[in-house]
Amino acid sequence: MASKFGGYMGRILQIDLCTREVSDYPFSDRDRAKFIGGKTMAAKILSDHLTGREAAFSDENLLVVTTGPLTGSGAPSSGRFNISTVSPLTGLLASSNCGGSFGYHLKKAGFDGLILRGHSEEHIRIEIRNDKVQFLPADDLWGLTTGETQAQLKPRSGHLVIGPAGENLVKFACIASEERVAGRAGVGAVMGWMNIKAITVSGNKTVPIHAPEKVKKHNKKWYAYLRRHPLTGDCLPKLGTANLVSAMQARGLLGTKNFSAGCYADFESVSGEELAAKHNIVNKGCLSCPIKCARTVEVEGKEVKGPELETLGLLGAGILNSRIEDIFQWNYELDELGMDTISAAQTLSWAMEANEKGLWANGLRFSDTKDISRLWEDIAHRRGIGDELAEGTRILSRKYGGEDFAMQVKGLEISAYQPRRAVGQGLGYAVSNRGGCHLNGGYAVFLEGLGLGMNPTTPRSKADLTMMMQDLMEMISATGQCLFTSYAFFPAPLISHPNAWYTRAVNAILPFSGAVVRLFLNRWPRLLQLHLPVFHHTKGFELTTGIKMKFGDYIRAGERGYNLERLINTRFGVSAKDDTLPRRLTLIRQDPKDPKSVVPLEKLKRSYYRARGWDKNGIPTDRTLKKLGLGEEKR
Amino acid sequence: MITVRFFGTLRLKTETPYMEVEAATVREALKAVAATGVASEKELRESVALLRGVRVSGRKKLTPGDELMLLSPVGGG
Repeated sequence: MASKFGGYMGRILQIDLCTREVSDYPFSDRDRAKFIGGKTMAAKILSDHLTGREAAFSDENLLVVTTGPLTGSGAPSSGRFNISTVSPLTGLLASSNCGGSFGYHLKKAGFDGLILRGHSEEHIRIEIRNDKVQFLPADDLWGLTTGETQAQLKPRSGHLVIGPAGENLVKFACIASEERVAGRAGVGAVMGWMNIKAITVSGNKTVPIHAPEKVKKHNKKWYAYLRRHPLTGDCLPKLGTANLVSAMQARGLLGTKNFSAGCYADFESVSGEELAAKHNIVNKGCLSCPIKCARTVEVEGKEVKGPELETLGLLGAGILNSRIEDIFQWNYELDELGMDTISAAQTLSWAMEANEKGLWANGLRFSDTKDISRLWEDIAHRRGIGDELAEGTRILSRKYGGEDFAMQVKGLEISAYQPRRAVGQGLGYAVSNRGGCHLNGGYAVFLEGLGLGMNPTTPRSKADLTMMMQDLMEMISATGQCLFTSYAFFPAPLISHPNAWYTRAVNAILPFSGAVVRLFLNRWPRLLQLHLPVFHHTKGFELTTGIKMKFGDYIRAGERGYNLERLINTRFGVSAKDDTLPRRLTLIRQDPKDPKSVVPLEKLKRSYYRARGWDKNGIPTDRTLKKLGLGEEKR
Repeated sequence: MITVRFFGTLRLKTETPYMEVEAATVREALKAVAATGVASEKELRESVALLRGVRVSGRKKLTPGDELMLLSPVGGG
């Protein structure tokens, strides 16, 4: 179904792997205007299909790959695409976002999305070239790593591949695309279950733009703004996401020894400063990205992708390891084997603590890193204890005990941020649709010390601000852009002058801003019919697509997407009982002398549900769904 | 002596992880560091100063042995 809007190719390719039938999935312009693209478009497709009874590894599940209207449009940092499915790790809706160029190539082939259903009887790879879809045998690729597989595929095309972990249904297997990965929630295991080793896509179509000349002019300003901003133009290009290790340490936010603490004595040896000074070879970035946050380091004599903050934090402080070279090696191995580094690291640190506490004699000890590389191989091939570790933290802790210190929410392991010193982030982990994700959770930690200096332990206004950040990032992701562009929302002077009177004033006001945030952004966003001068996203979207999109509409579209994902999860039985944190984070003080150093989750949840327009059980009310135009999606 | 530690892009500027200075307040510590020429006082004053994990202002009194952390703006995810 062709689209009258710019930015869209107007077609979603649907492949039934059982019958090998190829068709167009019906998605109207009304759907596009409402559900935009990326994870929100995928949520709409899955919402129309899922009843809540589908298992991740079943013919009833779908693997949905979607782009946003800005993907490949030339907008800054717009080389993103999304993969959604029912997660084998959580049993709920999963969405995993990825950089690289696959999204761009998918659009060049003429498609906004790709839906896979059923499973193939044989190991296959799929090759898409414009309208032509070929199913090719992949026995020769089966067993290869993600890098080895991509080396065998057609050059100058987009790739999605799995490694041995995906083939062996490791619950946190990822999908790799070039050196980037859709890491979270086990999307690679679903692709493995479908018996697909690789997908390549290429084409020669052009992404239509509604107002090309105006877009060109606007994008020029947008790139310049991001290059001037202290975070996207200075901090991230110079130090990558690894810059956060020391900042988290300084604020007691660095998850240490399976999150029993928030500071690690040896943090400097695994920090971004160490990486930049001694190891970084060159900065890399995704397609059309001015930020270039990726690092490259040397492993086994090769130049490979360096670790992100989460990997450094969790495989450094998380397991009391101070050898950064080990983390480079493991990061490379995990990518090659096709596993999410966050879930793998958290599962490892839980197993170390379970061993220390005598719950599970597995031989794994904190600080003892000599056999970790072999352990990754064992997990990917499901050998020995690797077979058990491949199930993730939730299943292991249910089997052996130790759920109180299993750092997962809804089955998904949380990332490196210790939330007892940033309680809004704790709320975000608990309510996130994806499970324990820092980004889908709203990333309130940025307001609580990392970027701004809001009181990190007060629950006041955290629910409203968390909701605002979630909705904002939901929409940025849906359009096909990188979440790092969201930093533009925070005016540069606030970030580069943290001690100025106006920044101190903002920090002091934020805990009292909840009512205003709720009133304007969530109740009456239509009052915000303007383009914010620092937030180029809305005008960029309007000019690219031709769809009216002022700031209030933008936030509302994000809110719609977030609620739709919640609605899908409620079909799988999700309610307030699932919006939890491990008891270590809600009951045990991080600082024994400070009663505020726990996450006051129940209080935060009550405020959050009220702000969201959900009932006490965490279910979106009819009124909320009506407000968001989601009446049809309710079942 | 007060130990002043530098992080983030400020570290790239100072090219040293830390310095030891004599100072009775945070402001004095920043002045003492600036006097060595590794970074200007303006740059140092635009960083976030933390003492034992708590953000402090220039007037905060220091006692010998204190470790002051200076951080430039950070972001990531």
